[in-house]
Amino acid sequence: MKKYLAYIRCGFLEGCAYRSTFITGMLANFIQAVVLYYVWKSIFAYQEIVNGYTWEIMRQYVFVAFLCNSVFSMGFEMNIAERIVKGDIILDLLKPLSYRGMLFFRMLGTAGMEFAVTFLLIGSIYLAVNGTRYLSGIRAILFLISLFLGMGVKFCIQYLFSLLCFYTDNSYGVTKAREILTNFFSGALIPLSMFPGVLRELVRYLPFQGIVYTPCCVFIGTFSIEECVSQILLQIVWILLLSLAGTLFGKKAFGVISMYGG
Amino acid sequence: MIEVQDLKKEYKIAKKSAGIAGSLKHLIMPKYETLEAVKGISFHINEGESVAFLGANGAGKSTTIKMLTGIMKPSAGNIRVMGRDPFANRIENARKTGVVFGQKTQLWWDIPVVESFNLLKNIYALSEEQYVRNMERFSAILGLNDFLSQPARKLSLGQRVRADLAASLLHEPPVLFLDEPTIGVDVTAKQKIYAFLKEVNQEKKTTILLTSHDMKDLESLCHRLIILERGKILFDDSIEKLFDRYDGGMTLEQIIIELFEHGTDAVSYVEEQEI
Ligand SMILES: Nc1ncnc2c1ncn2[C@@H]1O[C@H](COP(=O)(O)OP(=O)(O)OP(=O)(O)O)[C@@H](O)[C@H]1O
Ligand SMILES: [Mg+2]
Repeated sequence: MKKYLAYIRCGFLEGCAYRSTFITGMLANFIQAVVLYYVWKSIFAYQEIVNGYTWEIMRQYVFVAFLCNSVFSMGFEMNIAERIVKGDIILDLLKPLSYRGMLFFRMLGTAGMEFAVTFLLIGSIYLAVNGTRYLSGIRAILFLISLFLGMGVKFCIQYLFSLLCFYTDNSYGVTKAREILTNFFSGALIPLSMFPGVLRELVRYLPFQGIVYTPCCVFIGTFSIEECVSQILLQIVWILLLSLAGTLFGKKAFGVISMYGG
Repeated sequence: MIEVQDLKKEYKIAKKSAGIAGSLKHLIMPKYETLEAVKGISFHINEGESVAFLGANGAGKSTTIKMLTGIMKPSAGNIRVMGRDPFANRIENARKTGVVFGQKTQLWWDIPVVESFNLLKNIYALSEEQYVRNMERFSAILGLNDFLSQPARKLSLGQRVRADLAASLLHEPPVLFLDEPTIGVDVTAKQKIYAFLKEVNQEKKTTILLTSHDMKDLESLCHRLIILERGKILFDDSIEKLFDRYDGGMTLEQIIIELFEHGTDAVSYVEEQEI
């Protein structure tokens, strides 16, 4: 385990080395959050309740969703694809560790700083907008659990997509496809309960809700406590299923790659 | 220690004609052809041997090493390194081997080199004592101290390769695979490196398999040569045997040139041996 933890440190240091990318990325995301906030505000100015959501709920949702979505936001498909093309993936595979485990902890380190900064920034904006009246201790704890599991779900999905890069040269397309899927179906842009009928049913059976929608609803209280627990269990189930898929697919994918260079 | 039997590797390569038209055609009807990079080679290396892989560019040396290190799956054939199939037991295999691909670096590009070493210490669960002892030794021989606090992207080629070599030796692996480990290293440092590898080989019975295009260095370190040509083994025996076959006075370099120019004679030599 210690060897994996050491990757958190290196990931963190690497994240710090990319300060400027990180800051511009943050800024772009931040602008997106503010825009979303005003869009919803104007919608709710016309209509008091949209699919069961009031402006009271929505102005919490916008910021909490943003926080959830910002974890692991950069994705590593492109990075992996680049390492495959350049042949540097060889060096990762030469280490006596699970490739996926290594990636996870490395990303955790890189995301650590990003998360800390986002947490402070969005946290203070949330408080400025909403005050402390909606906060509850038990929900905060469940939220942190659910948020962490959401990261797990997101990681598993990103891992599966990055394995696709073993088969195709178009890593940009793979990354974009994954980003659109996770942004839309996770509830990062629109709460899932606002989806029209069939689509609403469909997303229930997809893993993406675990990334943003579940932790959000846990926090802002649209789930009852029992629902919170069952949805958190569902996140765990998805993580298990997706990891299994990753393991099986990984076995195939690693047999296929021919190492470039040298 | 290392057993290889009928090892083959075929690469699937896209067959594209040049130009935009060719690329478009490939998009609609992709055509692939297979390239046999390694065509069924067998050899056996004992513990403590130091063996050099020789061959022209594209002969299949790196391909073979990639399979031996367990990162690439062979198309056919069998490999055993310390009794294990390296691809199926990649993690176990990685613990016991040290690998350098001179063209690539395992150092982290953007963080200080010393952090990369620190990571290795944790990955291989080295004791503080072992880590410090090895780092001091390597620093003395490879002159690491000058650039340990720099990120890898700021190192010169030779410095980077030296650091990579130290990184592969840090956990004192019983088997070393070195693919062009002294690329871009200056003459004095090179001499030190080969003297050091020789020491490691003799002291700890470390098995070494290396490729290089530098005959002089190979000669000083390796007692045995495996010469590859287009994916086949042309010669596999001690260096002395090779010298015996040619008139005295020829250098290894001259012999190799001779061998490649009259490759077929050498093949018949191998066949003779088998009879
Ligand atoms: N990933 C790959 N995909 C397709 N063909 C490859 C790939 N890697 C190597 N080859 C081909 O396989 C053959 C053997 O390559 P290899 O890298 O093993 O040569 P080498 O003996 O290491 O040569 P060098 O001395 O130049 O390093 C070459 O013809 C090369 O073009
Ligand atoms: Mg090579």
